[in-house]
Amino acid sequence: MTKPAPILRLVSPVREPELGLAPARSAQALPQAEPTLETLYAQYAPYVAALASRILGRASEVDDVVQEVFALAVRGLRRREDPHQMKGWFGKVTVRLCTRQLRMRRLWSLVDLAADPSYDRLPDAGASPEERQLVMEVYRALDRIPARERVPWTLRNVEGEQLERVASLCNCSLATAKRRVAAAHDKLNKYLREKAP
Amino acid sequence: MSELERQLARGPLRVSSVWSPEPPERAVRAILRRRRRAFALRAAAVGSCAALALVFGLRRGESPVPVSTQVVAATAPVPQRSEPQRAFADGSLAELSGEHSALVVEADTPSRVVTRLSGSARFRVTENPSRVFEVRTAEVRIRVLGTVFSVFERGAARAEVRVEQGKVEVAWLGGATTLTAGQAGTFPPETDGATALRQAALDEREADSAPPSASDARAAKARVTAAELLHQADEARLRGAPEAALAPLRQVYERYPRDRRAPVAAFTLGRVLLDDLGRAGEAASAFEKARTLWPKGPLAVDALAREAEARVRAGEAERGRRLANQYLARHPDGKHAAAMRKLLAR
Repeated sequence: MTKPAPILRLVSPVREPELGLAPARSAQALPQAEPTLETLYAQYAPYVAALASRILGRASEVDDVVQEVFALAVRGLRRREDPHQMKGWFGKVTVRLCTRQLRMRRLWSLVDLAADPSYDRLPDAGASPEERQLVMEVYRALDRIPARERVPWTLRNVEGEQLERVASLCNCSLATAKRRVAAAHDKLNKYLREKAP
Repeated sequence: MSELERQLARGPLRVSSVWSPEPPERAVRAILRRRRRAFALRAAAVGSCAALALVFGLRRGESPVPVSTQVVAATAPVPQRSEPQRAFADGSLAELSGEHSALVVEADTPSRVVTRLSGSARFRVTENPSRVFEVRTAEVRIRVLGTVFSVFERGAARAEVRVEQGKVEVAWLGGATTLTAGQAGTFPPETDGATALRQAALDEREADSAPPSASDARAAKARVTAAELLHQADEARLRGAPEAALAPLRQVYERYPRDRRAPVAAFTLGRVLLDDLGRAGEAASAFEKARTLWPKGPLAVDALAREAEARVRAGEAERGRRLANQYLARHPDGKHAAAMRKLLAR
């Protein structure tokens, strides 16, 4: 009796829709290879970087956070988790590291004599001039708000996350997330009014 | 409805990513190198602490740790010794000295190099105004723009910085300064708040049979008290309560006007009032205090610029403009010159 010919699958860089499929499409399918750090990086680094960009606003800090997230992923992530869990893991770790970075930034701002940063690269290319100006002013005002309030506000109003997801990413209750978003919003309105001509 | 609320009613703010991707293979190599170096530095710190604990334990005459544990501590895994030289992508070079020195590179990108140093090293940094190059020790951060300088760790929390060429900015909790070619210093300074607090804590632990003199006791109390006040202010700011930082900062320069920390406290008060609380008039007075307490000190120039800004924001336009002109007359190419010209052009 001849053995059935093996079914060969081209293992391309892992794309999100392909993960999470039942382990065997057919009895003869090869087990799915565990994604390497490179494939994870190729897939999730843009997401991590975009999230970090919106929370931190500064390119030099974003590079650092991206590297740190994947350094933690070497040990912290079980590669066989499904894509939603993986994205959730990357999101939580990114938020945690960004929050830590914001706290360190405020610590060093006590003595930093450097000029305030410019946020002119942040607004989306498609934004109107008014929106561009608003984004830059918002980020300057966000620098004055404590990280525990700033981060949930950014996740809600820049990243566009639902409050339940904001709470999950920030590892707090829904009520706490709502309270912090509201507190940050009040402060932002106040600081923006001060700056208004 | 505010402009922000009107915009958010249309959808989230549109903010793009500011990240420049690199090829995954290269990125992963950098990530794995970072992990190895971080492990090496942690292992070096553990090894040093274990050795110190052993020595300290013997000095204090405590009950000896069981021999097997001592042997384990003494033979903790020896980390890979850092290469004596470390070259960076832009041609900058770090030369480690001393057997236990270690350097961990936390970031090495075109816009930013951040290294963490344990021990001593000499740095030769390529001039590049668009790149930040930082060296961090336990309590001190040194930021450079193309220079040759050396850093020596002095004890657990201080670092000596010597500049051969160029200029560096040295910062620590409670203060900052700039060093130019030929200058050197140990930081945080001896009279610095954080160091005084730590020293006070160490002093309490160490047995001292000689009773202090009355003036020593008064000086020690003053040092600790000013340090405690600065610490209270730092803590208040870190927990997001800037209003709670105002009183301790004022007390530093009101009670101890001749203390070297007094201008730092006044300057920090100005920043909190202006940047965190929007109280421009009071901020202007604080910046004025900072520069008059130490007219030739390292903060006087920045205090002048910030006072100009605060006066204008407080509605004292004429006074603010006078100060801006004063700044430009003395420092036409200074760090705040562009901002002062903008202020005058309004």
